[in-house]
Amino acid sequence: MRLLIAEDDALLRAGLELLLQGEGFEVVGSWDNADDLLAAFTPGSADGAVLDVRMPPTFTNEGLRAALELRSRVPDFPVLVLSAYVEDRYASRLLASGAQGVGYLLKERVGNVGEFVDGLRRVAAGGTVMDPEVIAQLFSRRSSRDPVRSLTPREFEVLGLVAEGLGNTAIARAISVSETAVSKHIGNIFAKLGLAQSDSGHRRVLATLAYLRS
Amino acid sequence: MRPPSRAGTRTRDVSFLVREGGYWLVSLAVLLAGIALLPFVALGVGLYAVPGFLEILNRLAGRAQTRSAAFSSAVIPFDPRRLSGRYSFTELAALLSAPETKRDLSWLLFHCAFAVLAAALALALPFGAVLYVAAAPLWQLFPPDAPLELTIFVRSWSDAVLMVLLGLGYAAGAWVLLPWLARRFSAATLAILSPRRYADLARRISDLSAARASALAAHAAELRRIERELHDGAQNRLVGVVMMLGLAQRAAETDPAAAVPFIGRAQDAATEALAGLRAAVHDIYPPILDELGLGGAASALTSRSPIPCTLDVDGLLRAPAAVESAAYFVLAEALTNAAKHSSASRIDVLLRTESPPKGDVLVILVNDDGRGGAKVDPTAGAQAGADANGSGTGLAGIARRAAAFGGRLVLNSPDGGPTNLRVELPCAF
Repeated sequence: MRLLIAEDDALLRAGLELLLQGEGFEVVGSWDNADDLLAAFTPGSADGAVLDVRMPPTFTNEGLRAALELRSRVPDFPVLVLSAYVEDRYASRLLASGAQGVGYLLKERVGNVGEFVDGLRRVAAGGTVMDPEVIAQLFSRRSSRDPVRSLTPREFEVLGLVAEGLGNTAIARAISVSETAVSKHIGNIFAKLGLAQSDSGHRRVLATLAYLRS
Repeated sequence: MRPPSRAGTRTRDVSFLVREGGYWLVSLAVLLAGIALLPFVALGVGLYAVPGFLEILNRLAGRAQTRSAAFSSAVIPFDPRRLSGRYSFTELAALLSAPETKRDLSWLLFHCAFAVLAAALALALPFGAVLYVAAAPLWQLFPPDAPLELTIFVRSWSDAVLMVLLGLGYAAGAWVLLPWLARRFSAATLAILSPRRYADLARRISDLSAARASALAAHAAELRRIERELHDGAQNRLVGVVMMLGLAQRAAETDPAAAVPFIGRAQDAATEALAGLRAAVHDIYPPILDELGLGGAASALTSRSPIPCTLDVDGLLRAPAAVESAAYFVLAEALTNAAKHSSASRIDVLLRTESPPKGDVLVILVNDDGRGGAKVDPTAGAQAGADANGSGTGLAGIARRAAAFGGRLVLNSPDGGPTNLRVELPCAF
């Protein structure tokens, strides 16, 4: 799988290249700023991009804007955006560009190489990966009268995993319960949130996040 | 300067009072014009002349204030009113009841009532004294049927002596009364026209609001700078640590020996993160500043410099802690930069407080005799702890610090040297 990287910190950029190449990805280009990446990008030249949010020249959200620009040139072009802190509005803006092939993770998640690479593969395959912190931030915003508050802690946890793009089997493994129990939880969640049940993991994320950011 | 003689100050008193008498004519004319205007104002049509009238009155009052201030050697700020333009009826009403209007009108009445009396006394007393003393002894020159008439008809030497004594009385009265009168007149003018206390307070409040806004802006800029320093330094290095440890773990799954280089790199990154944190913490407020003040802290810095360094802090005053902290950082960064890049054989450092009209400014001058060519690289990140690949990073940090305090960096560094660096940090917000 061919990837583009934009990360302004030299050490982190080198580390990312090393990590991704070690995991069998092909890094076809890496830059220390977003503009150069956009200038070099041609549709079909890569299968996905990993971008740091904060880069020169303004050190605000260059990476995010570059991700949106890439997706406007190639619809649903897979992008994984990395950030030192989570900002749920960034997540919303990414999702607004279409929920297929979008990821938004805290930078330190790269430390868990296995999960990071899995997440990247899910994004490249058209999935959605949101950092658990994003979900937590969205939840903490909710008012007490919000139906999300009526979820039990376990359902809450399951919803977080759903939002991360995990299927029932993976969720069952993650929280060590049976798959039947997971689908029961999910059924409860959707009932409490007033959402129609669906089999597609991808559409579940969409529905959840669309509801959360409403 | 020699203090003026007693007679000199009295000449000044008399001339002040006489001049006020002259301006009394103008005051009277303005007062009469105002009175003439009243019926038209009552009818409504005269309202349009009100702003112009008030402006003329204000100028006149301002002149009187300046004259009295000069006489009393007082310094009084005079803010002329600018009243041209069109006014609605309510604005005109507000204008008429404004404290400045009342102030100027009170002065006009005062001036019309007393200036002419004061001037008359200032002229008549000395004139009378001279006339009586000089004329009375000459009474015999006048024919008996038209005798010399002073206060009484002078027909004998006893009359003449009486009149000379009266003249001396006038002189004594002038000598004592006129200085008192001039002082009182000037003081009364200034008291009537001095900006009212609330106008004064209003000005101070607006000054303080502006100062507070700029202090808050400086504070916000400083917080952003610290945030960025922590983000680019410690935070990114720690992500590097986590990443390298992740790689090590991955490598160890297949070949434990392959993990070792990653662990080494993780350790390096952790060390850098610590250095970055240390620098950031130290930058927030260097402890040595509390202990020794900026002068002492600067001398600690210059004595550590690998290049021989002179320090002059003679003209340095105490500044707010945040400003001294910024100055300390600027100096430390400038010295580090010079040591790294300049190849200079000597550095001269001068810290002083300059006082342009807009408040104190702490100035840091660092001059070296090195090879010059230093440039500010505005895109350079503040890679705390990490070795910068040029002098631009350090200078960019200096420029950012200065900008955070509303100050500036002036760099003069032609190729071949020497390098003159000047940083100005405003102390008073």
